[in-house]
Amino acid sequence: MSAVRSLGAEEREALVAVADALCGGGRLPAPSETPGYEEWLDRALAARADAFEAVVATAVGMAGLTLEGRREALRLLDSRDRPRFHALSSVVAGAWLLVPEISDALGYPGQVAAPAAFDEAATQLETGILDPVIERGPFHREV
Amino acid sequence: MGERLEADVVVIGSGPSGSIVTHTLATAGVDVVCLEQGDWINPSDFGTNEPEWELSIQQRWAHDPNVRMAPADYPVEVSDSDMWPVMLNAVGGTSLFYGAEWVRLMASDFRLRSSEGICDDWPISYAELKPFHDEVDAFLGVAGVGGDPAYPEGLDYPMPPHPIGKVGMKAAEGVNKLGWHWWPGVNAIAVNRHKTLERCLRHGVCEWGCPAGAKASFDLIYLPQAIAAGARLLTGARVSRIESGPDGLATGAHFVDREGEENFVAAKAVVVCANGIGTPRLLLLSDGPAHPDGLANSSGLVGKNLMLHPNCTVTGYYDEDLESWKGPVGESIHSMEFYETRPEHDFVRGGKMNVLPTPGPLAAVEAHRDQPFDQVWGPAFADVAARHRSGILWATNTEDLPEETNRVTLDPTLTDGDGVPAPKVSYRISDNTRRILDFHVERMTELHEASGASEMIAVDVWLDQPGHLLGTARMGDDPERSVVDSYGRAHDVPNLFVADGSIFVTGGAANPTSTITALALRIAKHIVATAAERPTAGGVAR
Repeated sequence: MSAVRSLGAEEREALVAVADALCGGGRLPAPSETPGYEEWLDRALAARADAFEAVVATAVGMAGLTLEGRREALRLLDSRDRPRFHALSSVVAGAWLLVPEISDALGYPGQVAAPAAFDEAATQLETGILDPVIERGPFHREV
Repeated sequence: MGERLEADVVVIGSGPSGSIVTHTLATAGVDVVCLEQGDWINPSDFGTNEPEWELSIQQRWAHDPNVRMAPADYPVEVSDSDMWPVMLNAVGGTSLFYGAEWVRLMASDFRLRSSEGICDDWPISYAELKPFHDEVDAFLGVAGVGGDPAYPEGLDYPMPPHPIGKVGMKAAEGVNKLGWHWWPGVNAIAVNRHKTLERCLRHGVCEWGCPAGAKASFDLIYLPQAIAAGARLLTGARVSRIESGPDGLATGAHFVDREGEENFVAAKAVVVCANGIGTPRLLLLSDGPAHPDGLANSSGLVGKNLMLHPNCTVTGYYDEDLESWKGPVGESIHSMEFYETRPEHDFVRGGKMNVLPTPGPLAAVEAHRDQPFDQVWGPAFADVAARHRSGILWATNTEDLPEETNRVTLDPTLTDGDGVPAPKVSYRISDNTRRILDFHVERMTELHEASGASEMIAVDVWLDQPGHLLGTARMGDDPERSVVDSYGRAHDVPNLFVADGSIFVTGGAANPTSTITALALRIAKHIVATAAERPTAGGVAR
């Protein structure tokens, strides 16, 4: 899926700054310090093309604020305009979660093919975990 | 005016019921046309094939047609509703988005008037429906463990179960501590390659489109076999009206194609399979001299008694890795412990609880959105997202009882892209249902505590998830208290049938598609068996 349009430099900078406020400060590199973040930001914006302009405009509206100022502005947005905050946070934070370095660190392999071994289900049930239910006996209501 | 087609039977809608009816008729040699307003969706086209699937399901692949607003969708007016129904308009219908949880109604569900003095009995019993269940299960290759003590003896499945996974094992430990019923999940998802279904690869995105082609969505199974047997499927065919003649019999269906042309399929019989919202909408749109209040609506019950199975959930997060990104989703396990009415409860009927994994780090963030800002965002964010590996979702389908005030009508102003009036849903969650929801949130919290959850997040009711659209053209033996008989045949129109969830008399609390398909098979076989004796509108029969 392609983006609605290309981001301008100031728009991109504003979005990354918002991402830092939403995702940074923890045990992993902030979005601005994460190689590849901006490419994934483009993909995230394309996935929410419906919200593209609103997301960009909201981020640009916070340009020039300090990190703490942005965080406070986001806190206010969350409390006063939930749909707009939802779109903004989903896109900029969701983009960060898409960066392979970050998803690896979070233990997320992606929704990858993980076919079950032929005996996996049987092995689980052979632990006896279902025995108490079977021992309890019929449970249905006669009508 | 566009094309005029002819067929023995026209089926409206290609979801689970429409696919089964179309297949059953085609394999019996009936000339059948199935009209579907949506298009084919290739499994490789789903958003779930892309890393950013958690974002694309928020809009382009959203469950809610009012959010998705795809060309094939019609809007649903929900400003007077506590919940907003979801559906997909595509070949295979909403089954492309369902979890394929393949649980049957309980025998008690069919006898609430007789056994509890509430609602109405169904005009058929579980025992009468069971052979049709078994036949559908065999066709789909349903995966499960036989012998569930919550059901009468004789319930078995053609395929072995999916692993219940670390998620299911952990949840089951908790249920066992409480001494409650549970059973490994029953899912219409192929454990092994089966007919036109591929083997499940446990992507964990079943409810947003299975990229492997393993889930039994009806574009992948039943409908391909129906087409191979000679059925004609027309896509992009939005039915605007069922026509009826002076004698009141149905003569066929008008549909608008992608070019905006109006076409007509003349048929000896019409089968409506457009779901619990779309079916009453269409019947109400199809009024005429013989049916001034809408087709098949002399009872005044078309559109009434809408049931939506309000869902509540408690997501638990644990301190160990549960591989919660792994599918299927699908149910891992279910519990019928509080399904039935109990004298100690302050409500009648109950709910079906089931466990699902919690795939995706953004899903973990979504689950935490109502937590204080600083507990989700900023320095906390990575740790919140990392919880995706250790989540268990306990969810409950509650049984909402039929009420005539919960209904589908035609909106006076809102229309779809072809100018056809849109449905308006008016639905209020009853006090009884509220009590069932509250009770189950407490029970699911207990379950997580018993399993050792370190964090729990409850959602009292999921407002945007009801895909179980039931009751709006109910079955019954009494034409004054029902729309169709036990074979889905309209009391008012002997060559008109309804074969989807609209015909449920009560909703039960089990995921309904299994029952919908068993009913559809029974109806379709009856249509075949009674073709020679059924009246047809003058001048239409070929």
